[in-house]
Amino acid sequence: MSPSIAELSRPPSVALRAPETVMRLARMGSFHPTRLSFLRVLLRRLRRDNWQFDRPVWRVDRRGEGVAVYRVCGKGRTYSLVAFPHHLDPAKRTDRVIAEEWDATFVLHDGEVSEADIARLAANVPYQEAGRCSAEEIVLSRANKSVRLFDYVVGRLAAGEQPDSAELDAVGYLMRTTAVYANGKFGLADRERIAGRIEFAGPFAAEMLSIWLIRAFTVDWADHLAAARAPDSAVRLDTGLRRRLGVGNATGLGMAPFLINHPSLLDSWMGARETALARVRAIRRAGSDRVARFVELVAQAQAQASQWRTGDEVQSRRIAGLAADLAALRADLRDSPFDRSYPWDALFDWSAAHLGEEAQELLLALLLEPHGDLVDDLAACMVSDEEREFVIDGGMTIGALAALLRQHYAFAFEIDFTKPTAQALFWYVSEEKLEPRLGRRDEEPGAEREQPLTVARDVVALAKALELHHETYSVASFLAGAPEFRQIVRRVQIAARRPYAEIRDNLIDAVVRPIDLLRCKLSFFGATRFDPKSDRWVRITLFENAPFPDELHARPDDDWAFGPPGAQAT
Amino acid sequence: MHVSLNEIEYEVRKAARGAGLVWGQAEEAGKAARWLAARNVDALPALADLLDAHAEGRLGIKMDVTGSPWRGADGPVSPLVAGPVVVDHAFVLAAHGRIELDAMPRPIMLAPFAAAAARLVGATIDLVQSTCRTPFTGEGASRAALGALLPIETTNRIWCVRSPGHIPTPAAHSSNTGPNIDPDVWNRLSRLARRTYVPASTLSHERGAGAGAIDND
Repeated sequence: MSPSIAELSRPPSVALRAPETVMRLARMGSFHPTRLSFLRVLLRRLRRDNWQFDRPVWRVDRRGEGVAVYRVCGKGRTYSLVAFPHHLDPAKRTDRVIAEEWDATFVLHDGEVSEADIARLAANVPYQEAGRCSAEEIVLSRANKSVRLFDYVVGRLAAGEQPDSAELDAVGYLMRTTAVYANGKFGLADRERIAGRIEFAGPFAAEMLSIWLIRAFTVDWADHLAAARAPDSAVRLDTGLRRRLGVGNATGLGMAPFLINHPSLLDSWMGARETALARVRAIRRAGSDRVARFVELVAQAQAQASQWRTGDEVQSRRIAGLAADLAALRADLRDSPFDRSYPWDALFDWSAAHLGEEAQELLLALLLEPHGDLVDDLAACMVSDEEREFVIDGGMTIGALAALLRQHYAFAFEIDFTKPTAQALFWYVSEEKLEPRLGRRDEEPGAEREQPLTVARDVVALAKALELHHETYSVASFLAGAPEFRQIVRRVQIAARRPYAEIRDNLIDAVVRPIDLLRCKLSFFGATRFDPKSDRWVRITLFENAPFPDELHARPDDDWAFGPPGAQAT
Repeated sequence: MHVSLNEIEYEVRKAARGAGLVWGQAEEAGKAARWLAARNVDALPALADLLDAHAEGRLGIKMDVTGSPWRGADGPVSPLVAGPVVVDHAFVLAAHGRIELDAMPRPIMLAPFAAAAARLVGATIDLVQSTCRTPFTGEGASRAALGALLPIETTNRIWCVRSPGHIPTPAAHSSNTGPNIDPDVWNRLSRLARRTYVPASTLSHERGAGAGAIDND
């Protein structure tokens, strides 16, 4: 039987992918940054609103110690990133959050910074968690050198020569941040102070701004040290080469619980991403310029993937699979009929059947890339009124609540919690550094102080408790006598309203890989070069290929994310 | 000492959990503390008293809402327990106009929940007790009204009453910085918060978030 017209041309609206497909750790652990990633959103906004940048203070001595201020002005406001470069004993250089000294420390100050401010900050910022900030400060951070690359670059520049681009690409950054704090931590400004400002609308914008300015500092510092070492011969790092450098970041378990602790926010991020994909898939006719750009992007992505290095076995296999899939994708594109109806939809369908999750999620990013006019507005939706979402609907009957459990948590009821592996792990907060950690329930003490990341187990327990009451009983009355279920009831009600709020996996199972959570969150930041160092911590790069502050307005388009145009896989 | 609202919320959340409240209640206690601090009401001493009482088992965490007044089911009522229960029952306030609660200490900690209930009901909610009547809108209550509630150590029965009409109440000024915190009170909270932490074991060191200690590449 020949297909009907309806089958040949799909409906103009393409359904969003099902949460059961998207909200799995294996897939979330395959995410790539997109146009909607927060650092992209920030740079587009800074460019659009004509923000200006300068460096009013540079008092750094020959050893590289001192203070520098990077100033950002626009929309009637000023922000100052105050950088304190230090001389660090190499034996004390660790990326772990438990470190006490760093190569450089930073703070983003709200407004112009005075000498009195600098003196106050100099007495606190270098000590990071052990110091205190005021509500005039927004972001606190620190970074360590990639010693090998940093020393190599300074050496070459001092000798009057540019570093080799392959050396730069092999590491990808001169320095990596080991923590970026905001949102009231250590006395910093509360989110309320800046939430209403257009430049910081959306998640993590102030953090991204700080990191972008830190990137500029890392290059300035290397230039400075080269000039200090060889005042007569030193040259500055070539602007084309420096673009290849991002800021590294080392991130561990501290970041992992965020996505579980902010379900409605997670839904808004995922929902924006999935809606963007659906919009592109719903395009009936692909313009030839978009097709050409897409084909070029696939080649760039292939080149980027070929440079993606990691010592992690699992990720190495994934990257190899991605490389093979991208080759298959390019082969498919050669005879892909872009003149058919809904070509992007057909391509994405094909990928779901033929490519691995790494490649499928990369394809999502590549499909959004030429369609900024169609999807960029979704960045405004990546927020959530968490206070409103927090309210429990006490008038709901427990019969209705039980139905929600069955509807949205089918995955939880398939888990056999009598098996020790189903709850082999427990999340806790370490007394030592007040950071989230993951312990083994049968080997380590402290499980009685478990953090509430036990969603699947709690859902199963809730379902059992609800069976003891008549279905017309109110949630409010139930919770009055069983407050231990308050938190999970709140989650279930949020998940019922917001399809992408809940991860469909057991977060305390023996096989959980916390870096899947990190990868998802970091992809929303805009991170590339995901390089797991274990299943619990990871190195990534931010702002690789991005314009620097002094060239933001010279570049017309947000077209840098997949590397310089014309890059081809070798 | 200067402490951010975020620090207040999260320290109180941990302290409440450490004192024996369950996670859902602890989250709500943290938000309640933040709500008050944002209005420059220094309720942390009162809150620390309550949490100490919880930690010593002098207050319960469950309520019996079958009769009137609503009573503690496993010990005397705490506003940190009753507050969320009242908000959950906003539909009862909307339908029947009043909820009667058994005697409880430190009624100031009911204030954020009364405002939340007012927001849900879409009407003014009065907290009525023997010595005063405090009207709440969704935005809060006047500084004077909150100031009158603040020093009350214990109260007899309290009624949450939906007001017949919308009585405009000037909300206390909201601040983004919060009050100055007494370090002694903060230490009391931190002591309780510490009960949620797990001391490092040798194993956790070996398997911790990072791998190598020195990282010089």
